[in-house]
Amino acid sequence: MLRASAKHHGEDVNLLGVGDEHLDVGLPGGRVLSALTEAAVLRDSDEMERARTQAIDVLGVDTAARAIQVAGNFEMMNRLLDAVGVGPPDGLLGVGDLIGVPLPDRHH
Amino acid sequence: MSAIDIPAEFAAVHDREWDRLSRPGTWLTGAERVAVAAAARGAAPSCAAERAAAVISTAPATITRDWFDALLADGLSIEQYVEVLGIVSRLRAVDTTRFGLGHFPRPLPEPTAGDPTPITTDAVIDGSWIPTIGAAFPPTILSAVPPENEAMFDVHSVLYLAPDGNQDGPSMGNMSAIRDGLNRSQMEFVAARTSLLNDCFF
Repeated sequence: MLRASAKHHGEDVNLLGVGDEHLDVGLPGGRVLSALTEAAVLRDSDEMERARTQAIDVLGVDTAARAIQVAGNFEMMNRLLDAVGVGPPDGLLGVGDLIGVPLPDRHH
Repeated sequence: MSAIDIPAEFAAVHDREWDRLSRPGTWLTGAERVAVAAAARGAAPSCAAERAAAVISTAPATITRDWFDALLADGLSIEQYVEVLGIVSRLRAVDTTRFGLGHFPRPLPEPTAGDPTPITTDAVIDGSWIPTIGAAFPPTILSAVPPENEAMFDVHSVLYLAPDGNQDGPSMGNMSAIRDGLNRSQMEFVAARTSLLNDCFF
């Protein structure tokens, strides 16, 4: 969906930034969104405080709050998919190369 | 830096989720549903449903077909598994959101007495281990237990975007959706990072 959205908006996104936190994905606030997401998903209390402060400084409080809610939503969706054996569609296995992370083929 | 105030729309969906959690469900009682949520938060599990909850919450990427089959062999029905999955996945959503905003988890609700209200559907196995109405993909995963699917849609619509094809407003069909200043590509980046951190590669 990131690839589709970037294409829709003509944005030059570095998809390797999804798989490597040290790379800039090329979106506004990309680095702080990455840190905010990682701290929330990994439940890292110390890092969460720092990442939230940075996100508020760069994006504003409402946008930071929305980003946290989006991460919460995908915590839900990831579990729905992993718990019932649904893997990536065959046609999307190649996306792993784009983000620098090989995707497992769970169909076979 | 202090915590971010709980957004009103999130507070409201959390209230609705706690109400759903406390009441008898489709295949589980209110007490069983709250116990499942407690196991997802780390309480010692005492039955197959609670063991399922603990793993779904903390290590979803480790789940295998053999593990799933063992739960069924231990007496958990597929429909009960779907209900557990719905409860735990939504709990994870609201707990992660509160953590990210800088708030402690909300105490679990007291269960409401009463019996479950079973619902039988035409769901069949189509691309996953559980029956679904239509091919298994995110909007149908919980469709064998309709109230769980409706609850997922509720949370999904508040936290991210409505899972529908509308091209206007806060819907997944709107590639130009912006919520609280977060544009669609930024949302999808957060989604992709979350999935990668969870080792979920759909």
